[in-house]
Amino acid sequence: MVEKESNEIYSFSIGCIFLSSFLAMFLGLGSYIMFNLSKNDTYIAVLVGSVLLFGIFYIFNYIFTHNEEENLIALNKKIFNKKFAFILNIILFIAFFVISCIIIFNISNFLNIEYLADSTVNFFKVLIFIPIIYICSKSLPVIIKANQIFAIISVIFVAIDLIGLYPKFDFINLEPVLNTSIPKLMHSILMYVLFGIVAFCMILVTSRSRVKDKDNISSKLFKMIVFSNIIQFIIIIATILVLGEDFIGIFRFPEYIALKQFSLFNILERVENILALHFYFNSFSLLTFLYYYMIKILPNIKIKKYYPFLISIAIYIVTSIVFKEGISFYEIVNKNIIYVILAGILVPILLVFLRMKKIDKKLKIND
Amino acid sequence: MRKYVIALLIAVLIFGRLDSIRELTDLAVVKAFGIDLTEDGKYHISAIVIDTSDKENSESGIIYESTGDSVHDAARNIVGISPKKLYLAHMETLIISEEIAKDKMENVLDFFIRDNEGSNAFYLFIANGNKSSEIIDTINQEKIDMVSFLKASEKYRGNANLKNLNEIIKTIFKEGIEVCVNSISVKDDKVLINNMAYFKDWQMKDYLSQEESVLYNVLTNEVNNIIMSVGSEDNLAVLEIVDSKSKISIDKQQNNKINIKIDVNGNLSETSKNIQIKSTNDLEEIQKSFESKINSDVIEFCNKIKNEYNTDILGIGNLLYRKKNTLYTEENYLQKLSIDVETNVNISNQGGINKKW
Repeated sequence: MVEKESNEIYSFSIGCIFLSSFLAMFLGLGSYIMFNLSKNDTYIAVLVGSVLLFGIFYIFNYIFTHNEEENLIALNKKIFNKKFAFILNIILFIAFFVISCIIIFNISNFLNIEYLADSTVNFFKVLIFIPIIYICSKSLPVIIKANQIFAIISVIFVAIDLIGLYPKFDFINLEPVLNTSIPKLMHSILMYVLFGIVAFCMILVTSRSRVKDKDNISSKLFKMIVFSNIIQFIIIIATILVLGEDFIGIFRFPEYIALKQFSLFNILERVENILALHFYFNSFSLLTFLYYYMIKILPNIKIKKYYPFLISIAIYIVTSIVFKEGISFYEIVNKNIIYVILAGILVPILLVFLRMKKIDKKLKIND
Repeated sequence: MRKYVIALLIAVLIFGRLDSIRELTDLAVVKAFGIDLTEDGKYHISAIVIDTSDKENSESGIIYESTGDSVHDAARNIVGISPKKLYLAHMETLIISEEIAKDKMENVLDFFIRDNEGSNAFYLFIANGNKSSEIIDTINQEKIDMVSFLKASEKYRGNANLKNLNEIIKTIFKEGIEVCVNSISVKDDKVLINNMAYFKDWQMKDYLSQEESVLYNVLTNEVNNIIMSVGSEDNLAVLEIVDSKSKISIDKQQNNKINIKIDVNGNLSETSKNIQIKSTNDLEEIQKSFESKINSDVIEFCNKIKNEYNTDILGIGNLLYRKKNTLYTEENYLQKLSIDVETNVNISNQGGINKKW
């Protein structure tokens, strides 16, 4: 029997990148912002946002399937002139760095509030850095496989959550329907789409050319994106059904608070700390891809192998200075994350997309 | 890379500490917790801590008491008496004094809402006419299992319900609904689960009567196994309700009319000599008498809620809010509502007796 090569990447793994990155953007971050905007109508925002994301998928899928290079960073260097590619990659680096800081502080804050309240947030940051630095020393296929395992665990955990929380569902909590003002609902939809865009960007960490099962990759990816949105919808609606309109907005991590009411056939209870581990796994997955991107953007020089370590130190310092505690963190993130994702990710991606379209058009005319 | 990871691990040990780490032997696991207000406005807490040293008598506990400026402060001051820190995650009962329930309920519950260790799945009681510490003391002396006691009260008397703190807090936060909380007292060294205390805007107002407590629990679908009777002396008939369901809805034609529909299924458990059930007509007549009794009791209770208690414990305001009824935004909306009650009683079991004597 021929052993499988360890550096193979499959389309399912790419779908898993989206799934875990997408879920990671929501715990205490996307969901908290959305719940505060649209309360118990958040599930409507998720439904509408999902449809919009399916449309946006076209842009990312086009870049992913037409990219002959290693990843998005290499693609930028190929399709743009040196100076412009440099600027674009620096913008992406800043965006990825800011998102890394947000995710690191968010998950550290989560662990601090809900797990070990007497320990310091900085302690958790270091704990999170250790496995990330380690995994960054591995090749991309290894990182993607590790992520795939975490994504599968997440789905299993969400399924268990659903079974254990179902008796606590109160469908009255969905009422009043559409009580949120339209601007707030639109804002909530926008946030959902923007967090989805960050997750889409993570699949460009590789390209179709590196995937083994290339046939029908777009449709396979699309199915995974639909599945990821369904999982996110389940998490959001389960939280609403358990906590209700008025209770949902007062907690920093509402999904976790809902999990506190988990009871499997009245036998298995108080296991929220174990079930919530998938929130950590997803954040870890997203962070590894953000690190991978940042390492690829930084110059290929002698100290390259120290990059994960240096990035971690930079994140540690920046988060310590900028985010003092949970409330200031939320205020800063709530005000600025739109601009970070719009200017730092969506605009560069659109530029890449338009450039690729133009090149494609030229090639067709020449043919 | 490995050496950097090792260096980071060492950094974790040097710069950070797992300060929250606690050994099981260092924990004073609390079973019941009472809070009183002292004359100088401080919080006095009393806690039954499971006595792990007395293995033969697992029901017994040790009572610790202390005072502080806040609940947390008072709980920490226990360390002055006991070497262990109180651990509240396995708590079953929380008893708060009337003074706290009337004035400082919000402040006290905030401590429990914020606590990351517990799931707030314990039962809340108002100390009715006694200090919480007295009740805590009697519970410990009599070795009462409060959970079983409450469940029995809920199941067979219907004057209490099994809403835990989490559900109570959820109700308090909801629009257009006020909460009722179980009460407890001590009489002749015996613990009694009393009638429910009703609240308005986080403040306890008074207690419902025994009948009102039962009706409240029936109307909010919290209990379904109670006993009720019609008639008296030789015309007495007793019904053991085994299942009841109530539904409160807004009338489709009139938006200021509330319809309450109650479906009751029960067994005839006792009759006096003048009550003869020999045909379906007799049975229907008895059923109708129970229906009219429930109807009149509920109407009377609703009128009392509207005009005397002036607090929306049935959540009619929440219903109006959920259905986007504009009446909810008006002041004293309860007084503007008319209430109609329809009850269906089904006596499914007459005890297998055709009374011929």
